[in-house]
Amino acid sequence: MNLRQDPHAPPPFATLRLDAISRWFGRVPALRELTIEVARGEFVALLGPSGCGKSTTLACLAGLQPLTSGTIWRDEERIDTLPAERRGFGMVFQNYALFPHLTVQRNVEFGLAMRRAGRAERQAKAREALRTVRLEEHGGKRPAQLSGGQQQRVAIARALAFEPQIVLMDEPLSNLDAGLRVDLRAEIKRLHESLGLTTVYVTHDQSEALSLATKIVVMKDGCAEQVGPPEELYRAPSSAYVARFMGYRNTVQGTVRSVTADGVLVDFGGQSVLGTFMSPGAPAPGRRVVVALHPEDLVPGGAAPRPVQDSAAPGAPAGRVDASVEVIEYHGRTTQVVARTADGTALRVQTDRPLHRGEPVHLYIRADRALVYSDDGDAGELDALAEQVA
Amino acid sequence: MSAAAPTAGHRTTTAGKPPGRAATRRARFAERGVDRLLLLLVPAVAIIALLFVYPFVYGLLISFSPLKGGAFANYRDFFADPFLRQTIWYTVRLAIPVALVSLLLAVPLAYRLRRDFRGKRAITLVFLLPVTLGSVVLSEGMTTIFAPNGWFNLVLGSVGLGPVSVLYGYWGTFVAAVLGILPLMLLLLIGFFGGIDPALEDAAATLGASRAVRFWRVLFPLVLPGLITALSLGLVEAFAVFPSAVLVGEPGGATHVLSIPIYQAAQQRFDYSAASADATVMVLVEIVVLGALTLVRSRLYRGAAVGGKG
Repeated sequence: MNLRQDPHAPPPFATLRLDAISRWFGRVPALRELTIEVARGEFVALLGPSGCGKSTTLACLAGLQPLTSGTIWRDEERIDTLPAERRGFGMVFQNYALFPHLTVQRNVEFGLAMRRAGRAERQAKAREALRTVRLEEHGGKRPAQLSGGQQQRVAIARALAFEPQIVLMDEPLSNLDAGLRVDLRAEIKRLHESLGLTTVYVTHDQSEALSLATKIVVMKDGCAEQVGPPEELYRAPSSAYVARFMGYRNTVQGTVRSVTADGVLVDFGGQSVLGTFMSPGAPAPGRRVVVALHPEDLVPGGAAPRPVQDSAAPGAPAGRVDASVEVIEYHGRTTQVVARTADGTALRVQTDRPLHRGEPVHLYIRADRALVYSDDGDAGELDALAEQVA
Repeated sequence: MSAAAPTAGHRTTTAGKPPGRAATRRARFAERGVDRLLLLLVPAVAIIALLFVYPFVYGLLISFSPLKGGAFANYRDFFADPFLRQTIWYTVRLAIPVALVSLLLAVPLAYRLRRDFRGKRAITLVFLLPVTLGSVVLSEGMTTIFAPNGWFNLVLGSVGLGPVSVLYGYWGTFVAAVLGILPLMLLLLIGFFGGIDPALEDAAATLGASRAVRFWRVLFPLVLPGLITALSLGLVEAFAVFPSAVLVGEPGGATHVLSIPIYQAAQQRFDYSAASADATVMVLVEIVVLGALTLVRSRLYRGAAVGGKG
């Protein structure tokens, strides 16, 4: 794969910087002083619910929407004043946006034709790009003759064929079936790694962000809520909101009972669990908090309590929540379980243990995996989020 | 999961009798799109049949039973008389430029109006208003605007031009026809332009296409079948121009179009047979022009103007 050996290509940039960009629609802010840095070769995922400003960010970066304030820089060059056609970013759209009246080959050649590449060069590079997405045999077809997954691969080939420095992807997989989505996700990963493409990728799907990105920006209300590598955001989300996006599907309200050397003891669901306080500041007893628990971290211990510390993490103290199994979804290796505590709190659990409906379970959780956040009164918002993230 | 509930698998054994014969016939027809929904077509079909097909066939038949002479006497008379024969040329030289000019004026407007922006409704309304007035009111209005001391010539005069005599000739009818046809075309074209997925233009922009290139390489090919449809509609309207040809044209001369001898034959000489023959000539001329346009259109890309899932 050597799409990137064009001697006429612009010199490689080092960083792309969105500097305090804002975008207002009338009186409504979509982006509020957002600052993001993208280094060459990075795969940055903008993650958030609909309306958080992630797609607007991408549109502003592409030049499809004007900024209300702020600047965008490619190293020392200010680019927010350039129209879209002079920024040279490849872009992949949610609905593919292939030109329906042109053949697949012509679609892929489009960017090269705009750069006045010769016919032979154009055709060769388009064929090369189609080969990268494994569609070289379909060049003569019209987009409508291809399946959704194939169309999106053509769109990717079209965005890559003119060798852009940066590729922007706006929820490219969200129109595809689940199986296809995983396949194409792997393909995007492969392309990013083999071509060293700098990519900015918008998604509302945490698994896409976690599996593809080298850096995730979780967005909320037009601001970046947390920025970091996937492992960091997954391990230590800075707020219950980010935790939700990292797959912590249980966000439960509780009250701090006491603060010990091992962590904070939180009352919720009529029981107490030892957790780790993640918000800034120190928790005081009696304070309202939100506990975020990942389904994988709730380990069912069966009717007879068994210590789980030894298997999971030696030494880490574990708390215990008693509940009864309400719903079981079989997923092959693992089972997704909804367990309900005595006071009616539903907890989602992922386990490889055989459980039965109605069975009482003890759910063990390590103190360092029960993430405690100060309650900012957005519990309702979190529930609404749950609908989107699940 | 050990005690599985009775599953749907059992249902096949307890299924009812095979469906009755009438039911299968209904299902077979439904497969081919013949079902009760077709009843919705009845009113429209009845109106077309009674008010168009029947009179048309009747007119065609009586055109071959002239008041005097053989079956083709009316047609012979029409083509033998240079004054009548010329109406074909007068109609074509009015209708085609009117339709083309209306289209050329409507395209940039529709292009600009394809997306929402503040004031779009007001602008659209202003351009669509003439359609509510009808050609008679429009023509009457023109007689004051373009009169020697109307504001048009006063404005021209104030900058040292004119006076221009627009009224009572080719250009009077031309202007009136464009005013009547432009709004109809605009309505159609806003729909055609609006039907093009905006993401296609965005995609072209990110690929390096300037505004002009986006128009000519992406929008234009996708909207071209629509342009031809609009042109066809405009032509049909312009072919049938009558009030403005009489009121602001020169019905005995430059705007002696096909509809005028039809009117004269039917309403002044009460020779319905001759009127029908002249009307048949008009239909044939229109069929030739529209046929040519349809042929061109059939060679274009006519699929959906969206780039994938929309």
